[in-house]
Amino acid sequence: MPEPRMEEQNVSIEDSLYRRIYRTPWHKFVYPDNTPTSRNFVLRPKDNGKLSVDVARLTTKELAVKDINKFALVEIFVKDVRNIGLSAIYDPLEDNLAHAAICGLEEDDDIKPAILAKKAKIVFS
Amino acid sequence: MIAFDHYSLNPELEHLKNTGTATVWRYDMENSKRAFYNSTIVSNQNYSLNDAPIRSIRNLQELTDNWDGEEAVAPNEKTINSAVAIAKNLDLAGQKIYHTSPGPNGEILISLRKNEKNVELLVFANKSPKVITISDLEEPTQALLTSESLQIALSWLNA
Repeated sequence: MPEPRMEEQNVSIEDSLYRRIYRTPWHKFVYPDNTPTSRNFVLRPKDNGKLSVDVARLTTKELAVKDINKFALVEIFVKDVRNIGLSAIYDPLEDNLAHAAICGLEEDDDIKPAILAKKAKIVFS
Repeated sequence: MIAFDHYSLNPELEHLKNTGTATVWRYDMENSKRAFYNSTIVSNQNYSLNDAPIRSIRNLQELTDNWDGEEAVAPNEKTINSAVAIAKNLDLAGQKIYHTSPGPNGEILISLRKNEKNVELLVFANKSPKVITISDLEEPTQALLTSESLQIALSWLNA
């Protein structure tokens, strides 16, 4: 994957995002209709308020999933993230230039994780 | 109208616990007659509407911390018992559970669904349980889970 150029590095409203979800045991993280549960979009203490995602345009499904034996990928559109008052920011890491973060989730808000889950689709499993 | 008659234990069915046979009659209301319909195996075992989800919740006691390899906290015994109690209340209300799932912070999700409507009941380790309603057509809601808020959510779900 070529290194993204500077002008590509902002997260656009047109972009979609990949989020890794843990795949085993599968039934714990997805509903019987193969859609993700809200628990895949809940912050953990180690997240420091930023839900980790990759910008789909800057990576591939194979790279984003890292380990297909361990993870699956869901895709969510930036416009759906912004529509509920959250932001998506480019947040490159040394070993992952496609990395971004969904910001604005609050610990006591369980509505937004449920909406994100309803909007997200499993795209690689 | 179907009527059951002659319930009896059948030695041939001993391998099936709590079963017997019943003769089933079809009753003709207009002519006040009954006619043999068939013979069937019946069970006197009480089955809960949510047996499988309740078992799934109880099985969460097997999880240990870091159960997803991403530092997820395992639900504790109190959280599991609270979730089971809620599931049993749903049973009494005749509400089928769609799915149960552990969360990364020690919480348990009990999900109810009808058409495009979703109700999420969330049982936490260190705070009060919540009820969330989500649908494509209406504004989502979030409230503390009480018998009243559960009743409202179930009425909304099944309306």
